[in-house]
Amino acid sequence: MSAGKIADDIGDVVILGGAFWSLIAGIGLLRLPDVLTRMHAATKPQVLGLLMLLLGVALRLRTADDITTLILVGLFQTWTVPVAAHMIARAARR
Amino acid sequence: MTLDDVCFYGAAGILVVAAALVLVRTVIGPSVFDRAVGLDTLSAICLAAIAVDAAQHHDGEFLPILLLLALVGFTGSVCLARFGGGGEQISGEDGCVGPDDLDPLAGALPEPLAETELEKRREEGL
Repeated sequence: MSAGKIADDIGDVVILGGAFWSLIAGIGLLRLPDVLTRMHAATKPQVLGLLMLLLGVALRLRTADDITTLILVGLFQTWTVPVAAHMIARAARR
Repeated sequence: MTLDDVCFYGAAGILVVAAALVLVRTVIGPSVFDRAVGLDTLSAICLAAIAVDAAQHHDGEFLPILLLLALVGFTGSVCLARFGGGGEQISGEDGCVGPDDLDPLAGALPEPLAETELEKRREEGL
Protein backbone atom coordinates (compact mmCIF):
# COMPACT_ATOMS: atom_id res chain seq x y z
CA MET A 1 0.00 0.00 0.00
CA SER A 2 1.69 3.16 -1.17
CA ALA A 3 1.77 6.43 0.74
CA GLY A 4 -0.44 8.02 -1.93
CA LYS A 5 -3.13 5.38 -1.47
CA ILE A 6 -3.04 5.83 2.30
CA ALA A 7 -3.43 9.61 1.91
CA ASP A 8 -6.33 9.01 -0.50
CA ASP A 9 -8.10 6.76 2.00
CA ILE A 10 -7.59 9.16 4.91
CA GLY A 11 -8.90 11.95 2.65
CA ASP A 12 -12.02 9.87 1.88
CA VAL A 13 -12.84 9.40 5.54
CA VAL A 14 -12.20 13.07 6.37
CA ILE A 15 -14.48 14.13 3.49
CA LEU A 16 -17.24 11.88 4.82
CA GLY A 17 -16.80 13.46 8.26
CA GLY A 18 -17.01 16.96 6.81
CA ALA A 19 -20.23 16.11 4.98
CA PHE A 20 -21.60 14.75 8.25
CA TRP A 21 -20.94 18.09 9.99
CA SER A 22 -22.79 19.85 7.17
CA LEU A 23 -25.74 17.53 7.84
CA ILE A 24 -25.63 18.48 11.53
CA ALA A 25 -25.73 22.16 10.49
CA GLY A 26 -28.78 21.46 8.34
CA ILE A 27 -30.60 19.60 11.12
CA GLY A 28 -29.79 22.37 13.60
CA LEU A 29 -30.99 25.04 11.18
CA LEU A 30 -34.31 23.24 10.82
CA ARG A 31 -34.94 22.34 14.45
CA LEU A 32 -33.59 25.16 16.60
CA PRO A 33 -36.17 27.65 17.87
CA ASP A 34 -35.08 31.20 16.91
CA VAL A 35 -32.77 33.23 14.69
CA LEU A 36 -29.83 33.46 17.07
CA THR A 37 -29.71 29.73 17.85
CA ARG A 38 -30.17 28.92 14.18
CA MET A 39 -27.25 31.19 13.43
CA HIS A 40 -25.18 29.15 15.87
CA ALA A 41 -26.02 26.02 13.88
CA ALA A 42 -25.41 27.74 10.56
CA THR A 43 -21.94 29.04 11.39
CA LYS A 44 -19.98 26.75 13.69
CA PRO A 45 -20.74 23.20 12.45
CA GLN A 46 -20.89 24.48 8.89
CA VAL A 47 -17.43 26.04 8.99
CA LEU A 48 -15.96 23.02 10.78
CA GLY A 49 -17.46 20.70 8.19
CA LEU A 50 -16.22 22.79 5.30
CA LEU A 51 -12.69 22.97 6.74
CA MET A 52 -12.66 19.18 7.22
CA LEU A 53 -13.85 18.73 3.65
CA LEU A 54 -11.14 21.04 2.34
CA LEU A 55 -8.57 19.07 4.35
CA GLY A 56 -9.82 15.87 2.73
CA VAL A 57 -9.62 17.40 -0.75
CA ALA A 58 -6.07 18.59 -0.01
CA LEU A 59 -5.12 15.06 1.10
CA ARG A 60 -6.41 13.67 -2.18
CA LEU A 61 -5.12 16.28 -4.65
CA ARG A 62 -1.65 16.83 -3.09
CA THR A 63 -0.35 19.42 -5.56
CA ALA A 64 1.04 22.75 -4.42
CA ASP A 65 -1.28 25.06 -6.34
CA ASP A 66 -4.43 23.14 -5.37
CA ILE A 67 -3.42 23.14 -1.70
CA THR A 68 -2.72 26.89 -1.87
CA THR A 69 -6.19 27.50 -3.30
CA LEU A 70 -7.77 25.32 -0.61
CA ILE A 71 -5.94 27.16 2.17
CA LEU A 72 -7.18 30.46 0.73
CA VAL A 73 -10.75 29.12 0.58
CA GLY A 74 -10.54 28.11 4.24
CA LEU A 75 -9.10 31.48 5.24
CA PHE A 76 -11.77 33.45 3.35
CA GLN A 77 -14.49 31.30 4.85
CA THR A 78 -13.24 31.86 8.39
CA TRP A 79 -12.99 35.60 7.70
CA THR A 80 -16.35 36.16 6.07
CA VAL A 81 -18.66 33.91 8.10
CA PRO A 82 -18.17 35.87 11.36
CA VAL A 83 -18.82 39.14 9.53
CA ALA A 84 -22.12 37.89 8.12
CA ALA A 85 -23.11 36.34 11.45
CA HIS A 86 -22.31 39.57 13.30
CA MET A 87 -24.37 41.69 10.93
CA ILE A 88 -27.36 39.32 11.04
CA ALA A 89 -27.22 39.03 14.82
CA ARG A 90 -27.10 42.81 15.19
CA ALA A 91 -30.04 43.29 12.85
CA ALA A 92 -32.04 40.43 14.40
CA ARG A 93 -31.62 41.74 17.95
CA ARG A 94 -33.32 45.03 17.14
CA MET B 1 -17.55 -1.23 -3.72
CA THR B 2 -14.36 0.46 -2.72
CA LEU B 3 -13.81 2.88 0.13
CA ASP B 4 -13.75 5.66 -2.47
CA ASP B 5 -17.25 4.84 -3.67
CA VAL B 6 -18.69 4.49 -0.16
CA CYS B 7 -17.22 7.81 0.98
CA PHE B 8 -18.05 9.85 -2.10
CA TYR B 9 -21.58 8.61 -2.66
CA GLY B 10 -22.14 8.79 1.10
CA ALA B 11 -20.83 12.35 1.28
CA ALA B 12 -22.87 13.41 -1.77
CA GLY B 13 -26.05 11.90 -0.29
CA ILE B 14 -25.45 13.52 3.09
CA LEU B 15 -24.89 16.88 1.42
CA VAL B 16 -28.13 16.51 -0.57
CA VAL B 17 -30.07 15.77 2.63
CA ALA B 18 -28.42 18.73 4.39
CA ALA B 19 -29.23 21.04 1.47
CA ALA B 20 -32.86 19.85 1.51
CA LEU B 21 -33.18 20.59 5.25
CA VAL B 22 -31.64 24.04 4.81
CA LEU B 23 -33.92 24.70 1.84
CA VAL B 24 -36.96 23.86 3.97
CA ARG B 25 -35.82 26.38 6.58
CA THR B 26 -35.19 28.95 3.85
CA VAL B 27 -38.71 28.54 2.49
CA ILE B 28 -40.65 28.43 5.76
CA GLY B 29 -38.31 30.72 7.73
CA PRO B 30 -40.56 33.07 9.68
CA SER B 31 -38.30 36.11 9.40
CA VAL B 32 -36.10 37.43 6.63
CA PHE B 33 -33.03 36.75 8.77
CA ASP B 34 -33.84 33.04 8.90
CA ARG B 35 -33.89 33.07 5.14
CA ALA B 36 -30.60 34.97 4.98
CA VAL B 37 -28.96 32.45 7.30
CA GLY B 38 -30.44 29.61 5.25
CA LEU B 39 -29.14 30.99 1.97
CA ASP B 40 -25.70 31.49 3.51
CA THR B 41 -25.64 27.88 4.65
CA LEU B 42 -26.90 26.75 1.26
CA SER B 43 -24.00 28.50 -0.48
CA ALA B 44 -21.58 26.83 1.95
CA ILE B 45 -23.12 23.45 1.10
CA CYS B 46 -22.65 24.21 -2.61
CA LEU B 47 -19.00 24.91 -1.78
CA ALA B 48 -18.79 21.53 -0.07
CA ALA B 49 -20.40 19.76 -3.03
CA ILE B 50 -17.92 21.29 -5.49
CA ALA B 51 -15.07 20.24 -3.19
CA VAL B 52 -16.39 16.64 -3.11
CA ASP B 53 -16.56 16.62 -6.89
CA ALA B 54 -12.98 17.89 -7.17
CA ALA B 55 -11.78 15.22 -4.76
CA GLN B 56 -13.59 12.42 -6.57
CA HIS B 57 -12.11 13.28 -9.96
CA HIS B 58 -8.62 14.07 -8.61
CA ASP B 59 -8.93 17.31 -10.53
CA GLY B 60 -8.44 20.84 -9.19
CA GLU B 61 -10.02 22.54 -12.18
CA PHE B 62 -13.04 23.88 -10.28
CA LEU B 63 -11.22 25.05 -7.15
CA PRO B 64 -11.15 28.75 -8.24
CA ILE B 65 -14.95 28.61 -8.12
CA LEU B 66 -14.65 27.66 -4.46
CA LEU B 67 -12.41 30.67 -3.91
CA LEU B 68 -14.94 32.99 -5.55
CA LEU B 69 -17.92 31.57 -3.62
CA ALA B 70 -16.06 31.78 -0.31
CA LEU B 71 -15.22 35.42 -1.02
CA VAL B 72 -18.57 36.78 -2.18
CA GLY B 73 -20.99 34.31 -0.59
CA PHE B 74 -21.48 36.41 2.52
CA THR B 75 -22.37 39.67 0.76
CA GLY B 76 -26.01 38.65 0.30
CA SER B 77 -26.76 38.16 3.96
CA VAL B 78 -24.73 41.23 4.91
CA CYS B 79 -26.75 43.37 2.50
CA LEU B 80 -29.97 41.89 3.83
CA ALA B 81 -28.95 42.54 7.43
CA ARG B 82 -27.68 46.02 6.66
CA PHE B 83 -30.32 47.42 4.32
CA GLY B 84 -33.31 45.09 4.41
CA GLY B 85 -35.37 43.40 7.03
CA GLY B 86 -37.78 45.07 9.43
CA GLY B 87 -37.71 48.47 7.79
CA GLU B 88 -34.68 49.87 9.60
CA GLN B 89 -33.20 52.96 8.13
CA ILE B 90 -29.75 54.40 7.89
CA SER B 91 -28.91 56.94 10.56
CA GLY B 92 -27.26 60.08 9.25
CA GLU B 93 -24.65 60.42 11.98
CA ASP B 94 -22.46 57.33 11.97
CA GLY B 95 -23.87 55.24 9.13
CA CYS B 96 -25.21 52.65 11.58
CA VAL B 97 -28.60 51.03 11.25
CA GLY B 98 -30.93 52.85 13.60
CA PRO B 99 -34.36 52.05 14.99
CA ASP B 100 -37.46 53.06 13.07
CA ASP B 101 -38.59 56.03 15.13
CA LEU B 102 -35.37 58.03 14.80
CA ASP B 103 -35.19 60.84 12.28
CA PRO B 104 -32.13 59.91 10.24
CA LEU B 105 -30.89 63.49 10.03
CA ALA B 106 -31.83 64.68 13.52
CA GLY B 107 -28.93 66.40 15.18
CA ALA B 108 -26.79 66.38 12.08
CA LEU B 109 -27.09 70.14 11.50
CA PRO B 110 -27.66 72.88 14.12
CA GLU B 111 -30.92 74.79 13.96
CA PRO B 112 -30.61 78.10 12.04
CA LEU B 113 -30.27 81.11 14.34
CA ALA B 114 -33.20 83.45 14.82
CA GLU B 115 -33.03 86.87 13.11
CA THR B 116 -32.73 88.79 16.41
CA GLU B 117 -29.83 86.62 17.50
CA LEU B 118 -28.12 87.24 14.16
CA GLU B 119 -28.58 91.03 14.59
CA LYS B 120 -27.05 90.89 18.05
CA ARG B 121 -24.03 88.94 16.82
CA ARG B 122 -23.50 91.38 13.90
CA GLU B 123 -23.51 94.31 16.31
CA GLU B 124 -20.97 92.53 18.49
CA GLY B 125 -18.80 92.00 15.42
CA LEU B 126 -18.79 88.24 15.54
